[in-house]
Amino acid sequence: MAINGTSLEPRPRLPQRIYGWFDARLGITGVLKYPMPKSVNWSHTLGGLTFLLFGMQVVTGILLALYYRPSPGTAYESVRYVTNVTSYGWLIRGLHAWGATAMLIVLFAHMVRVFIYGAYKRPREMNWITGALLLFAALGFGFTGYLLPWDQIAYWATTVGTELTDAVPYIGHWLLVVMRGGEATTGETLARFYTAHTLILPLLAVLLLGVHFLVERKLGMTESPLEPDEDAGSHDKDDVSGREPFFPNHVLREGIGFCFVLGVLFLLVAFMPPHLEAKADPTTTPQHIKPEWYFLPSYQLLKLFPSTTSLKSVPVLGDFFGTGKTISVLLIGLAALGFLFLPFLDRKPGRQIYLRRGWLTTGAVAVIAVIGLGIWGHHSK
Amino acid sequence: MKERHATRKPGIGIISAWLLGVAGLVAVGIAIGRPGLASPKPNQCVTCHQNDEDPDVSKSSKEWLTSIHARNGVECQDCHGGDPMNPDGEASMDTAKGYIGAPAKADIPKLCAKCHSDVVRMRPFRLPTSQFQQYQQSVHGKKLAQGDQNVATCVDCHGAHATLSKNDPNSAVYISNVPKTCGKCHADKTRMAQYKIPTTQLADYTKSVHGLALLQKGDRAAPNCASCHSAHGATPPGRTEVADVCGSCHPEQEKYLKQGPHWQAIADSGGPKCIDCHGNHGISPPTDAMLVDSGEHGCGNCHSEGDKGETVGKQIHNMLTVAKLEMDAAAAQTSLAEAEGMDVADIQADVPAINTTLLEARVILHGLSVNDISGKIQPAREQIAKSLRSAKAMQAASLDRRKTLGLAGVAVLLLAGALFWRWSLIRITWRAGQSGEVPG
Repeated sequence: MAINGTSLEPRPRLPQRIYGWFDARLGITGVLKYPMPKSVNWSHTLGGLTFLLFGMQVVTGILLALYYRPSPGTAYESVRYVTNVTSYGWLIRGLHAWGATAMLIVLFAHMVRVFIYGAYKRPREMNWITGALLLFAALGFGFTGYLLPWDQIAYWATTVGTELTDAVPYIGHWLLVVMRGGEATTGETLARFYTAHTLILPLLAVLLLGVHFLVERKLGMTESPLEPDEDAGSHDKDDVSGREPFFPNHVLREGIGFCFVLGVLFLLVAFMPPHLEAKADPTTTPQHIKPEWYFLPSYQLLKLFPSTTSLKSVPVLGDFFGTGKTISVLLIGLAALGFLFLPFLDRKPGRQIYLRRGWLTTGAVAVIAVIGLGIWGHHSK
Repeated sequence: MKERHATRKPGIGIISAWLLGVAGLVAVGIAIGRPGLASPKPNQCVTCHQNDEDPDVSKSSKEWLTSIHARNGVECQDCHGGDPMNPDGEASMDTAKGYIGAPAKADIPKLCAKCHSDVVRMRPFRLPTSQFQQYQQSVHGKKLAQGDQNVATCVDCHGAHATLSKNDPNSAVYISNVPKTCGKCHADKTRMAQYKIPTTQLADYTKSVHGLALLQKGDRAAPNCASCHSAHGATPPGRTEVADVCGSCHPEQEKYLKQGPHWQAIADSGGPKCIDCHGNHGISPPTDAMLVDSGEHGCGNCHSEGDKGETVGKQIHNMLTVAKLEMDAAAAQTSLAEAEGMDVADIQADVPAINTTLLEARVILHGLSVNDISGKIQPAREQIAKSLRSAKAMQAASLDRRKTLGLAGVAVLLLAGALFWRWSLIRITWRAGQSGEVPG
């Protein structure tokens, strides 16, 4: 109601006015009221949780970077300094180390959920590919970050890990030299890994996350593959009936999930703090060198086709493969490519479970094989 | 520009050629001047004997070809006489030309000494020339002089024809091959029976702390038979008997032994010497328990209960035992702190210094001065106590972290539970709103 063009409604309070100012420009209400799919459940929190854990890694990583000195003479000492001298440095380092593990577990689970939901199918191919690239980036974070403490296990695991690239046909040795900054693992390698860990990979991750979120907002979330045919697929973002709003319903779900993971992380840091071995010594090779748990499947696969198996005598292919190690590296490469381009391998439109028995079985076998190889690698000598 | 090029190039060429020529001449000069590198002479002995019907003779010829003597121009005639240039076998082995055949055993040391005692001849090889003189003073040399044909001469250790440098790992006198070479005779019961000396030395040495270091760990600083018994003579230079040689490698122990009451006892009654406590060939790693042991190598072997020696032994043993127990306790606490994820590198960095101090105390022990040992052990004990305190402080810090962070973890989990409760209420309200009902 207005008299002489003047509104009689009470003027909104200052916070509301500020919110209104931003809402008019950013469309915050639209985001908060964004309708979730009918079948929204706890598994839908995995993507957001990965993002929150990535944020935690960024924050703890920045705090660690304030003290870290990336050179062979100072890296180990600076990590010890952070852990033993700075206030709550042990907590920050513990959260960063365990947070990496948590982020990868949640990320794996998110990818499995997306696979089961068939959410990689047209038109969401871009979302799957950016997600798969983010998984590779996360593994890259793990691989490059592992060297930074510059202790014995870090040094030798990196030496063995980078050695694998040498088995890539034709360009392997060049790749090895590029990664290490020379023939051996040295201070050059540390500088390169630090740059990759703190500059290249974060930039890449932010770019990929941007595309990932944009596509997700544009296309909406995928309904459950258990829903009836007509409902499975993209949900209508304008139809809000029977759909929970993003805020507060789903935000609370995410919050609960993050609090749960954070609580578990606190307990892990308290009772199983990350270990720091003796300082890296290039002249003393430890007896057993094993990578972090997320590289154990590839580690075990490499042991199945050892470099001692020479394939030089095999006609034609012998020159290409060289040793068994090349077979392992190519198998890992093929699996990664197949994973990345899954939307182009499985091009049938249906998302329902009963329509995708073959692919779901293949996926289940792949997951079991990866877990099995990981357990085998953990227990192998 | 062209002119400058034209004048510079030949100049460089001439200088380079001149330098190369000079270098070549120097190399040829060095090669000619160096004994043993002269152009090989035709050696008729080897030409015939390496295919000799007698396998021993052909083997000897072939062995000589691989020897250090062959490489340095010492040929058959230098030991056997004769004329190696003569292709006629009979003529070349004519006694008129000095042919002696296989030298008699008693003549071998002298024969070898013909070259090896010649200072001028040995100087280019930087070899000593006192071996023959030392050998003559040794038991082997004396027995040989008495006509004993059973004792070792040069060739029994160094080989007659396959003589190699002592630095060659294939040589019988290479540092780690010496025990086996000596054992060839000294572990032979039949051979040693007439001398009435034991034959267990090699077996004892192999199991000893010295033998394990040399033969198992490959520690070339560890002594072999020759280190104590001398390679050629009776005793190492400057020592009057074998039992005195331990101080050559263990001078600190000897220094403190000389300051203590045992040294006077040695002067008075000839004992106890190193070997009385530690043994000779089968030396075991020394233990603190020897101080209170009444066995063959323990203090109790000589000292009776209640006498001064036994009392001092017990006092020293107590001091070392207490330090060891404290060290073990500190190590255990450090391990616990490490298992809890604490950084114990600083504590571990002190361990070598503590061990060195305790090792020094065990060296001083040879002087049997309780005060001196106590003065040495006390700083080590203080350092151990500091390590123990640090380890316990780390465990306490770890416990604090666990308590604080454990509580924080539980609090965050409780927050998750509270949020879950709140989320349930919101969903109930939302569902009611969806169906038009009023939530109850």
